[in-house]
Amino acid sequence: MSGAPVTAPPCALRPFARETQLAAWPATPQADAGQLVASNGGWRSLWPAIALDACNGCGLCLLFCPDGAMVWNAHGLPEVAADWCKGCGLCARECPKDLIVMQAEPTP
Amino acid sequence: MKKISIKTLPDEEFFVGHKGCSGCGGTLILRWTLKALGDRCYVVVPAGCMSAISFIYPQMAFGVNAMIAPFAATGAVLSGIAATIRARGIRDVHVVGFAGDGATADIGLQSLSGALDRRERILYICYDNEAYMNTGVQRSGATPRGARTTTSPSGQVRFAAAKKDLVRIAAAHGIPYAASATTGHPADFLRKLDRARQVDGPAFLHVFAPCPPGWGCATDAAADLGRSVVETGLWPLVEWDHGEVRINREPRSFAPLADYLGAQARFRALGEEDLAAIAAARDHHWQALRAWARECAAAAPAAHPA
Repeated sequence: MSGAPVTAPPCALRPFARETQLAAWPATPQADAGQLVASNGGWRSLWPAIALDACNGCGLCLLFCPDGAMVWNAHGLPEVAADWCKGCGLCARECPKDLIVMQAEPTP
Repeated sequence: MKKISIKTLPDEEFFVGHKGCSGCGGTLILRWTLKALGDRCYVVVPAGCMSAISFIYPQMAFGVNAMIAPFAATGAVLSGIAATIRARGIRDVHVVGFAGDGATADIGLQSLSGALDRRERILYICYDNEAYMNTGVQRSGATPRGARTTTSPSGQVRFAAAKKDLVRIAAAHGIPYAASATTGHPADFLRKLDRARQVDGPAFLHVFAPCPPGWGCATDAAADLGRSVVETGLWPLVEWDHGEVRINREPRSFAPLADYLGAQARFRALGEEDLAAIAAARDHHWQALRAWARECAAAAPAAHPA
């Protein structure tokens, strides 16, 4: 287990203030790519746990993530952005060293 | 221009935060493409999955300029944008369209044909999930024989038409470049993308894109299915480059069909007879493909000017 879920760049959660007056809503989308107004984490039933001690940082998990939810941490190793990961398991299937295991969500 | 490869893919994301299904192959193709092409990109998506999951108010999944075209008009909008930026002297922007198989092989086919005919510098990428997935898995012209959809519930192996060969349809327009790729071969896909963005004129990429809810496959199978569909011979990796045809991967013997079909609920009802029919159709398709490659090799290259 590689620690608690994190939200790391290039992704950021940008909570959206839900206005009650229709006129207060902007006419166009206001949050650019890389910002989420509501977390995708709720889609997930399994969490990709990475055994980082044996990871050589090949980056295949970053390449194959359809959601861009796998990011490099400060040590050049992969880390999962919790609000972005939908728990599909592609990273676990494609890890050449089988270091990623899909398991029950870590409790905070 | 820096060469595109897995090693040179930047960390920046230009397609994130979308609401695509878990394990979606189409979004993977979009993400790779935009990462590789960078921020100098105008994107066109027709009505379909990619527009439904990316433009969700008040949020936007595209980090580049992107617009939604009418279902049938991806090609028309692409060539219009390309003509506009050419007239304005903008040279360093890629004009890219992402359309599904329905918007390419059926509904947008005449628009695509017109766009290929107009010879603007556009890049058309068809992510092929082999049915109308956004509206609930209806059969399209690119649905393979034997696949169950809501409008072909029995699979209809013996009656259904063969999957439309989009690469050959595009190549028949005499465009500079057309190729097929899959989610399971990222290096091959990125090499073809690199070639496609450099040719002077329209380029067409036909990319295999698994759809877990529509196909009834595992959510982690997008890359694995991309490999097995090539190994079983059901998705030839081919490349049409200025009149020359290259078959990128020619398996000496095909892997058993069950390797690919068995991993998907949409093929569950197939019996022995159906599998034999699919194998026979595959072998015939490969014969035709090899004959096409030989024919193009024998023809003078000048017949297809760049």
